[in-house]
Amino acid sequence: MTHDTALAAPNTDPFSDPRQRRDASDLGMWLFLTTETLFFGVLFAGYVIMRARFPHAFAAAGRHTDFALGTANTALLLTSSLCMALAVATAEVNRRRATLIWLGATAALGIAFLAIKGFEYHAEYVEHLVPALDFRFDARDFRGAEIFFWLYFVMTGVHALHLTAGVAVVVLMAARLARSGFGKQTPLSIELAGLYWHFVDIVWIFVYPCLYLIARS
Amino acid sequence: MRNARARPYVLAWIALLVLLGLSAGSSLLALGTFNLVSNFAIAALKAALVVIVFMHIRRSERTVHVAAAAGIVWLALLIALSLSDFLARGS
Amino acid sequence: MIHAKPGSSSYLGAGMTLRSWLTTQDHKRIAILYALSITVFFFIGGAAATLIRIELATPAGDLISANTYNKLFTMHGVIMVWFFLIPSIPATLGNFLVPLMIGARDLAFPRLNLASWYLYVFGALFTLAALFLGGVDTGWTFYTPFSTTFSDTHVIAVVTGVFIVGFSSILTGLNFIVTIHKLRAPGLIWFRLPLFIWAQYATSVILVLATPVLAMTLTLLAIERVLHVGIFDPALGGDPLLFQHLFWFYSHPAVYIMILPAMGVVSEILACFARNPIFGYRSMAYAIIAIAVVGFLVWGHHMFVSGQSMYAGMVFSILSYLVAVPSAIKVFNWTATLYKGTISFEAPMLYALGFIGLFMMGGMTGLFLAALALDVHLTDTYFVVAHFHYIMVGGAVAAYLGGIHFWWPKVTGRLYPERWAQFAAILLFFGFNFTFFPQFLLGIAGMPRRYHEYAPQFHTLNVLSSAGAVILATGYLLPLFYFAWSLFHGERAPANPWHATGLEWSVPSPPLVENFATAPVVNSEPYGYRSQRSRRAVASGA
Repeated sequence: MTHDTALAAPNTDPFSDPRQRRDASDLGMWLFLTTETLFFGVLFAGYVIMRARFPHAFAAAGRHTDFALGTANTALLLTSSLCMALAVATAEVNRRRATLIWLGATAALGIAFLAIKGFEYHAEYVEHLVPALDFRFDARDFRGAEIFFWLYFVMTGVHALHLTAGVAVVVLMAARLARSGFGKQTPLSIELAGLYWHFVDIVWIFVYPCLYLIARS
Repeated sequence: MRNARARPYVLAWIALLVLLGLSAGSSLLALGTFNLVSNFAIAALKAALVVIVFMHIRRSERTVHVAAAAGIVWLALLIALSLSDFLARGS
Repeated sequence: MIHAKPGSSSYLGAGMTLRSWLTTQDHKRIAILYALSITVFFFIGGAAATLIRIELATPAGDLISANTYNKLFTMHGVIMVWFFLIPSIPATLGNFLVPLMIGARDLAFPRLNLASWYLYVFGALFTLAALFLGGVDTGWTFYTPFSTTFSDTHVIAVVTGVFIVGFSSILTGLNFIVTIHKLRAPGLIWFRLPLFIWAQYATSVILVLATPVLAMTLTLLAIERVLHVGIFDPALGGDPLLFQHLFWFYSHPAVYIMILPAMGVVSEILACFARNPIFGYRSMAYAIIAIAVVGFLVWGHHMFVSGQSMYAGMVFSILSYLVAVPSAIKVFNWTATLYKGTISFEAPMLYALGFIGLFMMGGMTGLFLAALALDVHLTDTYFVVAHFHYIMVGGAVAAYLGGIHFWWPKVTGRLYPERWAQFAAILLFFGFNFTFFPQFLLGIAGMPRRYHEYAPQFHTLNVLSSAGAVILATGYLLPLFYFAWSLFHGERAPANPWHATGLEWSVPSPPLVENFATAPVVNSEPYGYRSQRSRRAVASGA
């Protein structure tokens, strides 16, 4: 080793080229989403078993979720995924204004979803459907209905937390893009954020029929 | 050019909304167990659309496909084995 | 021979401030941060065990109250499982060696690696807080409804700590998977990888798939405990077996998280000190994957007498027998690796040889427990306690110590004192057997676990066990002293003191910050010991 190379700062970057970094980040994000699948999956497992245990109570309780708002919210999230996908596409070709618009739309739809959710929560509170906060239900189905709504608040609550994190990330990315323009890694970062956003949407795609489409007829 | 690139996403979005309408609408009909089956099937279809079109999983390498599939398979394992014990207990 | 003095290019010398250590992204330094942390927790968990064995030296519950005893075995289990065993080999040896063994400059996501360590510390602090606030008495298994409804200890603090440290290990697993897939040196195809890497890979897959289930299950437990509504307490309409299914879906694969890395270490050590390639390399790799996959299908064997359906019991029993097959294949192959080898008995080898025997005993006694009818008698007795300690301590801890000794020269640039290390290894082997073998007999005789007192007929065997624990404790304390001594007075280590194969031995001891001065290219099979031996024979004119 010559004197010169000994003085140069050592290269500790694990990646040799941008393509490798991109593929590794992609794999890393998908692996993270796999962990999230199992994380949320526990809630679905609990739901399946409890519904098998209290079919009548779940049907009775399921009628009390807000069908219209739940369906509208689902449509909002699906649209937000469209906006996010468009943001990723415009970011790929470094179109700053378009990307900002689509990121903004994604965040706005996410916030609208959360606002409607909050409205639903409030209505449920008023109707005494919040477990541990003076929950009231027909005595015959009480236990099962209380468990249904426990699952309802936990599932939608954990989902809402993830959605909030997603909104925060999207807003931060938009802010950074607005201030500093496209960096070398920006399209990749937006794409990774997009993967996360779509995953949160997929969770809701399964939550929706579980909580809103029982015994509607 | 813009529209051409956006088209697959817009088409997928329309399909998703149609499926949403289908599941919402069919739930208003009393179809018994079929409601459960169709709701789940529709949800799975929506998820597949999101994964394939919005998340463009086909652009990713095969390891990614395996990772995504593993999550679903392992979750199915957890639910299937626990549920079958529950049902076999007869409680 | 390459001698590297810790200078500006060694990873130990690059930055001497505390801040440079606490903000490092170097996988080698992060490995050391982990090693120090888990050692602290090992001794805290060991302290709990010491108190337990002192109490159990007499039949009467005269030293500690029943409630305190419950807290002791709970904290021992929680700390040893989550704050020692699960991180041990992956976060220390794995972090240090994975990039080196595959020819990479670092893990795929160095900052995530540092975040993993901080998550570990954060989670550990929560658990320590619970300890100082009076401990938890639910057992490390947190069964409901006791943990949700009846226990009046700091359950939520402890499960929060476990939740946080769970994400530490998830991120480590994620990092390893991406690293092994994407950063292998040119020519390093999967079937040229050291078995240590195969083992880390399989462990990482389990970490990624199983740990999130634990995280959510503990979250639901905490919510139920706070709100008094939930799905686990039968009085509220819940199902306690649902908790057990969810808990063991993680916790059974967790034991494979603890043993697979140990198996990886043993393969590296055995090949080196027998101067032989590993027998049946491919089947060893396949066996590792099979253990990881089938290990996800057997969790119900922890629930045979809990009220699980008979059919589930039968299915889980058969699958539990199946999972023993790849483990047995590994034991046969390790033994065959020794055949016609040139065997030497340095400390790492003593640990590895001990591992084979102790793991085999632990594994075989698992088969006793997998038989439904036998389990009815043996469950919740000391037979179970002995079974898992043979695997976890006789197996995993022994392999961990063997690995620490084997790679100590590489990590620190110093040689440890061999005689002291051999003495400690032998002391540990005897201490371990004295402590835990009597417990098999106690279990068969019917002594229940988790009791602070016992019937007088169990007295003699318990005294033997507690006496063994004294020897065990001594054996664990010795390395602290001679390793510390070696850091200041140990002989400086060459790059490859053991003449081992593997990329990590081709760099200086200790390695450069960037690991490799020039990126390596691999075109030979692993464990090239036989060709090494014939080359040496030719060179020495034999």
